[in-house]
Amino acid sequence: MNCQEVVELLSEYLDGELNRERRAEFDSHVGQCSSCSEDLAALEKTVDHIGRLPKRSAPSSIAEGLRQYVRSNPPMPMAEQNLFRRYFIHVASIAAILLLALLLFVFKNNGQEDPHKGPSKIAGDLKPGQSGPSVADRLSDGNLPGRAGPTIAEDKGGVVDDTPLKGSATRDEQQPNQPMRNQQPDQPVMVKKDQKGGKGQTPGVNLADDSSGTVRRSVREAPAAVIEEGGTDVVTTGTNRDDSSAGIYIGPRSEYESVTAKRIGMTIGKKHGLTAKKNEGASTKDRIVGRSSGGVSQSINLSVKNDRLAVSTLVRHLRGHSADFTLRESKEGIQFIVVLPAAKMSALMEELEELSSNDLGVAKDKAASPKAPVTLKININLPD
Amino acid sequence: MHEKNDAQLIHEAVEGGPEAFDELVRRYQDRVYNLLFRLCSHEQDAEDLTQEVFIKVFHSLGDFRSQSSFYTWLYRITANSFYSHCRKQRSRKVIRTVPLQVSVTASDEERVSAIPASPQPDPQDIVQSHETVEIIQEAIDSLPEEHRMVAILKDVDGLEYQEIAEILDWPIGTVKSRLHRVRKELVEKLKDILDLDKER
Repeated sequence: MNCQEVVELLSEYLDGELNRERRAEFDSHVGQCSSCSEDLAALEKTVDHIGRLPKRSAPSSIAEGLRQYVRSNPPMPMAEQNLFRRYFIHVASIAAILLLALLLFVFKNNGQEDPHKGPSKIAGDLKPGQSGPSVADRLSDGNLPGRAGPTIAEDKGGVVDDTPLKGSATRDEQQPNQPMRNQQPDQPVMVKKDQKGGKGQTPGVNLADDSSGTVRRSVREAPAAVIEEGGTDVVTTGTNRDDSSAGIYIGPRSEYESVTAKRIGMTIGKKHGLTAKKNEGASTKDRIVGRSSGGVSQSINLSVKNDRLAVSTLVRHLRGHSADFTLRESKEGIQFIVVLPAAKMSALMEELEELSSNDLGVAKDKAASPKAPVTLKININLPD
Repeated sequence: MHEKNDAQLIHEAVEGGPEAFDELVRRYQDRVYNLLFRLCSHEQDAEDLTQEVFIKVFHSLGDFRSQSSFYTWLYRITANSFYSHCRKQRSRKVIRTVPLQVSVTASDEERVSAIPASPQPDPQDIVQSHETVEIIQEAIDSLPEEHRMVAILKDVDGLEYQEIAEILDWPIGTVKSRLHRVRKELVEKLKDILDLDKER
């Protein structure tokens, strides 16, 4: 046995864990090696010191406290404990089944929203019968001259919210200036487009079916998507033709984002061949804006503060000009993409200029205040 | 009168006999308290934890299976309570206050009273003994929790490797190697005290 081995076995030797043979080898080495002998002595002394630490007796308060505790909390006899356990297992099983059933029920009904219960805060403020031509109509009417400019319908690249949300429509079933049925003032609402985008499916929203990337038809029977005053503090919209979740959402922005951010990010990411990540939406924003403002189109930027009245007024003006608009969500806020024939655009722009001077929170070329992170950015496309 | 063994007391306590549980407490409270005091190095913490351990034992007695001895099971609960206490302390960043004056504890009193009244006890011896205890405790306190645990279970409580392995749920080889390492560490830390002894 060499010094290295002896040092490794010091502790076991001291505890009497070595067999007779090993112990003899150990003793033999330590008898001849002063260094190992010293190491053993030091270890023995250390262990001895630790072992001689004074023993502490538990204070009487411990037993006294426990005595009182035990008498005031008598244990459940074993027979009852077993009964309780059996009962508990049964109850837990039933609860689990009920929970599962409830989850299935919720899951099944998710996406089958009753259109008459949903958009409680979305109501048209147009007069009955008032409507404007859709992009598709005007394309077919030839109102939009040529196809040179990138229309909303064609601007597919990188656009996630590109299903036109038509501002021109008549009220359907609802009386003017009346809240929608089953209105609940403080509830955020997501109005969903149903799978087929059929007629009258979603009061308050007009949606164009755009599965091929071009606007083919629009639904104009549903009431216009004009936002009423009051209610929640943030108005935002999201349309997404890929997963049939198009619609208008009115409610706190944080809630909307939590519901849709991932989906939107994934959709944009998919369109750009990017990895589907939550933040991909923001990264593609520059490309979207750059395309719409360059070349054949012109644009003006108006920052609209996050104010219901301002938004409502803006939407009303757009509708007044029968302007189709698409809402896109970007990191900075909501972007209104407006498509109008060139002849009508100047009148609309004049009105929008007026809006800024009317102190409705619309300021031309003003950056959004960092204190009001949700703003509306108006980007007007001028075909031709 | 024939003294009941642990198994009998446990059976009675489970069936709702508070006196049986009192007896279990009486039997083991000193060992649990002493272990916790050496681990925590704080009287109040040790007292609170001891009560906590016995309350856990009281509520879990029905689950005790006599495959292991009662005290091994009790020590396992004690060790877990200590680790849980350390975690809480870390999360609260507890700053421990140390009294400037060293209090004379019951065991110290005993030691003092054991010294004959006449001739006068050598005050230097008393102080030295006190200092030795403090230095050793400080050395133990400076160890990581698991090392502290294995050192105290072995060298203060005198448990066997196998018992420590059961309590801490470690393989026996781990117990051996950790104990070896801890002791080496303690030898280094207590060099001064050992040298002091040599001089005497």
